[in-house]
This record gives sequence, structure tokens and C-alpha cells, in this order.
Amino acid sequence: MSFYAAPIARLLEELERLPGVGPKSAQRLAFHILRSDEASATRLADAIIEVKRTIHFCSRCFNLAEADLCEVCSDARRDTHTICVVEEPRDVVAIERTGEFRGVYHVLQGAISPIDGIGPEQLRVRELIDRIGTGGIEEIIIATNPNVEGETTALYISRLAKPLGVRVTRIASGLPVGGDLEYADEVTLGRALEARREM
Amino acid sequence: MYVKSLHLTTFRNYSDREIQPSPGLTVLVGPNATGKTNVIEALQIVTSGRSFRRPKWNEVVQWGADHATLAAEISGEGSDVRVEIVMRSDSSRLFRVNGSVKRKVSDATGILPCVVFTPDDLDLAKGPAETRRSEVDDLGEQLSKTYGAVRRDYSRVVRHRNILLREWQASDNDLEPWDVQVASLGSRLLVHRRRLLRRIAEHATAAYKDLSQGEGLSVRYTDRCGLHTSSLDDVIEADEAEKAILASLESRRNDERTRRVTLVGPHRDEIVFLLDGNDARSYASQGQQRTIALAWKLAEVHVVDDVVHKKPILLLDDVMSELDESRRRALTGLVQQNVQTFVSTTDVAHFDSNLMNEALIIESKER
Ligand SMILES: [Zn+2]
Repeated sequence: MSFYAAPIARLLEELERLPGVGPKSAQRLAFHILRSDEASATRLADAIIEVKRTIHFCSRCFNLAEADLCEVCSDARRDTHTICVVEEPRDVVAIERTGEFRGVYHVLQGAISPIDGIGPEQLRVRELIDRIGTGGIEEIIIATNPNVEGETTALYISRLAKPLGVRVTRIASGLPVGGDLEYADEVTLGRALEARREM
Repeated sequence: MYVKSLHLTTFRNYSDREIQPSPGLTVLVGPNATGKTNVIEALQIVTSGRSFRRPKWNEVVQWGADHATLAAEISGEGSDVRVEIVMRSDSSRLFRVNGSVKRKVSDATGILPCVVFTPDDLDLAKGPAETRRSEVDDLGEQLSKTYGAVRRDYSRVVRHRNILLREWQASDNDLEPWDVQVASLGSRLLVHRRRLLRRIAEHATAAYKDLSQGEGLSVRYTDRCGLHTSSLDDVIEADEAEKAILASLESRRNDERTRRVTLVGPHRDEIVFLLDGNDARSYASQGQQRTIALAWKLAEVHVVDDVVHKKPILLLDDVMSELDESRRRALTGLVQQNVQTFVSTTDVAHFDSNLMNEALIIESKER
């Protein structure tokens, strides 16, 4: 049972659904919002609604996009013969920041993880294979995270992609063991791309 | 190296307590349930990241607080190191070394290894195989970051794969990448474990001989990786083990599907103690089992010294009353070899008075 007025209880409930937010942080956030003026509360609410209305996934690579295609896919100067496969949109940002990669991406939207109920069907693996099937792709660089789940996903994709006659490589794991791509510093990630190995 | 100070904040029954132990022997005396064991546990957590009680991390946070903090000042060669571990009520943890935040437990631990001996360890010889595997792996994790990382990743792979077998109608395609990982990580874990176990076994055999008159202790390692070996003297390379695991996974696929669990790999390997060639699980008397456990702990202290050239701290929780005088002396004798030792006990009568004269005695009282 809740000791709060219904609107506050509802806000707490919504905040607690967010990843990494427990009851205590939800209370902190809710009371911060209550104390702030109406204009800043409206700005927060608008920002949430706007991101949902205007941003969606690129129809080709599943990166975040404002239009049908994301900025990378709609850039004619990108090399479309090479696809870099990553787990999340934030990994695209990390690799773009290195300035080392001129190809295009494919965002899987996660990694294979039976513990979390995620298999290949829950990811954009089928779509990647279809993209390769349409031809014109020479190399797939798999840049999933250097942890158990990312490694398994890389192995799984490589088994499917190789028979289609493309070169499949994996970024070198100069990255820390069990680490996330997100935390890799730019120099390391740039070098990891350069020193990729055949799968 | 030794622990110069330990600060416990809202950790179990301690709201705010600072202890400045002796570089030699520190004895924590008091009736049961006064928190002596909590200090032993705190020392283990702050040095190794683990607790022999295996709590969820929110369970160590004092009621009403949102986190518990353990901070230790470790005196090193030349400079001191300050290690801090914060355990939060959402079960997450934060690590700091000299004030800077570390993302992984392995970056904050292993600076000063520890060897813990609790009454549960007296079952080492007779308990399930899992107890003996963990005993070796827990030490390995403190001595090598690679050992720790391989162990952690391997057990995650096995958990994933077991869910595939148990809850999903996993196809061969689904299982294949996990097979590759069981083989590549499992073979490395096997090699690391056998190498460390061989060193511990050598020292344990010598220690057992000193403690008992007569029987000889030996150790057998029977793999479930398809290598068909049980001698620690066989030299096994990782790539040989990797091939054996892959072949074994293939030949046991039907078994695994029927039993819905991963049957191949070092998580099923057996470590068996033998006394004069007889399996200690059925043959050893209670006294002999205790001597095996004691010899094993003494061996761990020596192996730490051999491998990383540091004296570990020795944490003895309530085991003195379980051992006779000569065995107690074998443990406390390590103080003379510069091993910082912490003992919790309900009764100082278990100690010889010369030793007690030199020791720092901390009394915990009824609450
Ligand atoms: Zn796109």
C-alpha cells in the first residue's frame, strides 16, 4: 500500500520501471521533480515525448534515426561493402568517435543471452543475413562486446555469414576482459578495429 | 604486507568501528553472536572480494542504512594502500583503491591475499566435489586475474548453456557457439586449476606428513573433459584439452539432451584425497579429515608465498576448539613466519600463554 497521493504514487511507479532505478532513487527523482518549477517539469515531459515521436530505428541498420534511414546509411560517401556489426546504438557512437571506420553498421539490439531469455530470434540477426543475401557486401566486422555473450553472438553470426561468401572478421580484443565496448577508450577501439582477425 | 587498520561502517552489527590489528597475532574473544566472525568476514571481503558466508551483498548492510563500507589500510613495501569496498542495499558494490574508483572487483582485490579457515572447511575431504574445486579456484582468483576472469566467464557460459538445454528446445545451431566457448574457456580453466592444484598438493602432502605419523596424503584429479586422466603429473596443454572437450561434447550430446544439463567440462571434474592410496571420503576418520583440511590450509599459505612472493593474512574463524593442541600450534606457528594472523574464539584457554602474551586481544561483548 502507498502513503502517497495517487499522482505521486503513479509517478513513483513509472520511475521504478526504469533500468537502474530502485525505490529510493525513484523517491529522490520524484521529489526533485515536485520541488522544481512547472517550466522545467514540462521541458522534461516534452523531451521524453519528442524522443519517442521523432526517433525510431533505421529501416536498414537499426541504428537510431530521425528519418527512414539513419545518418550513416543516408551518407553517400560511406563504403557500403563493409558492415560493422554492433550490439547497441551507443556502440555506433563509440566507433564513429574513433574516426577509423568508413563503412556502414548493423545494430543487433543486444546479444545472445539465454539467462535473460534472449536468443537470435530476439535480435536483428535475420535482417543482417538478408542484407548480406542481397549482395554487394564484402566484409562483416563483428564488434560485439568482448564478453561471454558478445563472443557467442560473434560465433553464431560467423557460422551463418561465412557460407554466403563474405569475409568475416572480429575486432581484436585488446579490450579489457569482460568489458563493454562503451567503456573502451577511443585509441584502444581504433586499434582494435585495425587489428581485427579472421573468424 | 599486513593490515594496519580496518574500518567497518554500518556493516552487519557494526555501526562504526575501527580496529588496529597487530602485525602478528590478533585474537578476537567473545561469546557467540557478538560479531567476532563479522570482523573475520570483513577482512576476507576487503582483501579477496569474497565472503565464506556467501551472502547477497545487501544482507551485510546494517538495517536502516543504504550501504555498508569496509576500508582497510594495507601496509605494503614502501607505501600504504587504502582499499575500500562499499556494498549497497541494491546488492551492487563499489571499489576504491587509494581513493580512485575501480570498475571491477579484481582491480581492488588480491593486493594482499588471504587464507580463511572456518569450521565448514573441516568437511573439505568428505564434502561434495564442488567444495574442493571452489577451494582451489578461490585461491587461484586471488593469485591471478586471468584465472579469475576465465573462471567467471566459464561459469557464465555453463549457466547460459544449461538454460538452453533445460528450458529451450535448443537446436545444434543454437548450442554450437556455446560448445566452442565451453571448450576454449573450459580448457584454460582446467590447465590453470591443475597447475595450481599440483602446487597445493605438494605442500599439503608435506604438511600432512609433519602433522601425522604414518599415512601419506596424495591427490587425484579426475577430469570430465574427455582427457581420461587422473594424475596431476600428466602434463596437459590447453589446446589438447580444448579438442578433448569439443569431441566429448559431441559424443555426449544425446546424454546432455536427455539430462538437460552440461555434463562435459571442468565444472564436473573430481578432486579426490587419498590416504595411503585409499579414498579419504570413505576411509578417513574424523581426525584424519581434520588433519587433511589443516594441511591444505597450511599449504595454501605456502603456495601464496611461492607464487606471488607475499605472505597472505590468515583468518581463523572458530576453528581452534575443533583442533587438538599440536594442530593448533601448527597454525599459530605461522605468526613466527611473518604471517599476520586473526583468530576468533569463545575461549582463550585454547591458546598457549606465551603466544597470548605477544598477541593483541580484542574483546567483543554481549550486546
Ligand atoms: Zn542505418
